[in-house]
Amino acid sequence: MEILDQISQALQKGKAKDVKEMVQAALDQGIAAQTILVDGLLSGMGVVGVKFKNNEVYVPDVLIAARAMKAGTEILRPQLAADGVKATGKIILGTVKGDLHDIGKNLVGMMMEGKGLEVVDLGVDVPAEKFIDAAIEHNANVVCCSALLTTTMGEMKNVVEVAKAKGVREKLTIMVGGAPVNDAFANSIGADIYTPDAASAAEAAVAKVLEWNAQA
Amino acid sequence: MDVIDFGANLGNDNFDFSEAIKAADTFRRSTGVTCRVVDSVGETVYISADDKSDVAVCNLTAKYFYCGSDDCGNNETMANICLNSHLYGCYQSERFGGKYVFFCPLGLTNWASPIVCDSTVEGAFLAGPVNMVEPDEFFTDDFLSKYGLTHTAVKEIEQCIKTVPFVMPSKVNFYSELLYYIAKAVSDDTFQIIDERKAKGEQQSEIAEQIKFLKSFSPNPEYEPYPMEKEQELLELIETGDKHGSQRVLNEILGQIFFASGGSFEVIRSRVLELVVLLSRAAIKGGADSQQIFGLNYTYLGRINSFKNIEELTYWLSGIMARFTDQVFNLTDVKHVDVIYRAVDYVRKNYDRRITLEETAANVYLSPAYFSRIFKEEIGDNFNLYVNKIRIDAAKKLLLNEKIPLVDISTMVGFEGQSYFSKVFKKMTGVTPGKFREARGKIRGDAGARRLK
Repeated sequence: MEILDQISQALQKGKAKDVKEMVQAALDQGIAAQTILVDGLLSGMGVVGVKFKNNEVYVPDVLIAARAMKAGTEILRPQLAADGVKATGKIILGTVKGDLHDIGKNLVGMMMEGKGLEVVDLGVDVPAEKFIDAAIEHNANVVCCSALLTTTMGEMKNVVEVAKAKGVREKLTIMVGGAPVNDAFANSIGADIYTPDAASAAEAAVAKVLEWNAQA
Repeated sequence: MDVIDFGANLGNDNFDFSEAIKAADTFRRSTGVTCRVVDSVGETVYISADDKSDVAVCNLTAKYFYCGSDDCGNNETMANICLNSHLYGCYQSERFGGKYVFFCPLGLTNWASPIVCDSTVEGAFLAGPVNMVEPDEFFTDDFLSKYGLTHTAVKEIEQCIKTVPFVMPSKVNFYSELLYYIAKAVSDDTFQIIDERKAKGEQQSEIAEQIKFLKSFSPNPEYEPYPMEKEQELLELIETGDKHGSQRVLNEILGQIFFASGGSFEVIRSRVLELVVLLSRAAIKGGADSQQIFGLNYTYLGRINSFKNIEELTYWLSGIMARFTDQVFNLTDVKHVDVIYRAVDYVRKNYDRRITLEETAANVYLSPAYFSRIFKEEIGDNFNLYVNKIRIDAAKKLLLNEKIPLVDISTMVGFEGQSYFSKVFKKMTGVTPGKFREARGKIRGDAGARRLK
C-alpha cells in the first residue's frame, strides 16, 4: 500500500510531523492499526537499523527516526487498544542495566497494552533490583526483561537471582527477550519464558496474566 | 584497572579545567555550537557561547519551571531536570566509548564526552543544544503541558527554540567525534579505559550480530556442530599475520560458541582455553618465536581463571590474538625469508649481551655489508637500531618490576654502560628510565610530543 510506504520513507528521514499526519490518514482510510505499525513504522525502522549497522547512517539519524516512530505510535496507541482481546493485569517491562536499546522494548510494551495489559515501563539501563521491587510494589506477576548485548544478558540472570533472594520467585513469571537471547539461555539462567519477538511476547504475557488471575 | 569513579569527586578544587575551557572555546568557535565544561557532578564550570542567546532557551525554560516550593508536581525544578539530563549524558558518554548523543528534556540535541584524569572522570564536555529537525517540524510533544505551563509560556519557549541552530544529523555525528578527540586530548592517557570499553562494546555487538544470524537459521543450538572450518580459516589468517581478518573470524567463532553454550560461562571458558592453545600454534607456524609464544602462553593461561564475565574473557582473547599475530612475520613478502628469520631469531636470543652486525651476519653466512643492506630493506630499521628496540622493550618490562635495581637493568638488556642506556631509552620513549619506572609506565602523551622538537 502506497501510504504505508510513504510512512516508512518519512520515518527514515525523521519527519515526525509527516509521519503523524500520514498515520492518521491511513487510519481514516480504514487500514488496521496493526498493519500500519508493522508495514509502515516498523518497516521504516528496520531499514534504519540495517543502514546503521552498515555505517551508512549514525546515532543522530537513528535518534530522529526513533522520534518519528514514537510520534506515529502515539497516534496508533488508542486504536491498537481498541482492536485487541482484553486481559487485565500488570506487567513490569524494562531493558536491563548496561543496555540502552529501547525500540524493541517499547514495541513489546505497546503490543501488550494493545491487549489490555497495564504496562509499567521502567525504561532502559534498569538494575535487577528495580525489576523485582517494581513487581512487588505494583503487585505484578509478570516481569519482562530485554537485552540486546551479550554482556547485559548476565544481568538477566541477576533478575532471577534477586527474585529468589527476595523470596518472590514463585510469585513471578520472568520473561526474557532480545537478539542474542534464546531458549537455552533462558533455561540456563532459570527464566520462565523466552519469546523471539514482540507479538509472541505479548501473547505469552496475556496467557500468563490470565493464568495468574485464575489462581488468585 | 577498569574502575572509573564518577560523581565521587565533589568540589573539584584539584582538577585544573583551564585546558578544557580553552578547548571548549575552540570547539565553539570552529563549529558554532555552544559548548560547556561540566564537573563530575554535572555543574557547569564554563559555557562557551557567542552571546546570551545561545543559551536563551535553556535559561528561559529554567525560569519558567523554577518553583521554590514543594508544590511542584515532581518535587523537582526544571533546572534540576536539565541538570540531571546533562549529568546522565555525561555519565553515558563515559560508559559507552567516550561519546554520547542525546535529546535533552525539551527534545533538543546534545552530545557529551568525558574528561578523564588518573582513572577518574573529572568532568565532561557538553555541546549543544542544536536542533536536528527543521524548526517547523519541531514540536515539544506534551512535555511542556505535563508541567502545567501556561499557554503563553509554551508559546514563548517554542518561539525561542526557533533560535536554536539547525544542524543535520550527519554533521552532529561528526561533531560528537570531534568532541571525543578533544576530550581525549585534554585527558591523560588513562582515557584508554574509555577506548577499551568502546572496543569491548563493539566486539560484543559483533558477537551478538553473529548470534542473531545463527538464530535465524536454527532454533536448536545444541545440535550445532563446532565450527571447524571457521577455526581453520582463523588459523590461516593468523599464520599470514592478518589482524583484521582474524579478529572478524574470531568474533564469528565466539558467536557460535556463545550460541551453542546457552551462555554458560564455564563452557565458554573451556572453548576459549582451547582457542588460545590453537592460536599459539598458528603463530609459531607463521614464524613467531616459539619461546616467546610459550612464555606468553604460560602467563596468559594463568590469567584465564581470573575473569568473571564473558565480555572480559572475549576481549582478553582478542588481545592475545593480536599479540600473537603481531609476532608473526608476513613471510610471503620477504625475499630473503630464511636469512631474516634466522637473524631475527638470533637477535632475540642474544640481545642481552654484546651483539654485533658482524657476528650476526656470520651466523647467517653472509658478508656484513650485504647482510646489513638486506636487513635494512626487509626490516626497515638498520641493525643496531633494531637491536636497541628489542633491548628497550625488554628494559621497559624490567622497569615495571620494582624488585630489580635500576642500575642492573642496563647490563641485563645488553647495554654496556648506564649512561648510554639512559640516552637511548630517553630517545625512544621520551623519558629517562627512572622517570618511566616512577610513572609506572604511564607516560603523558604530550611528554613525547615535546621531545620531538
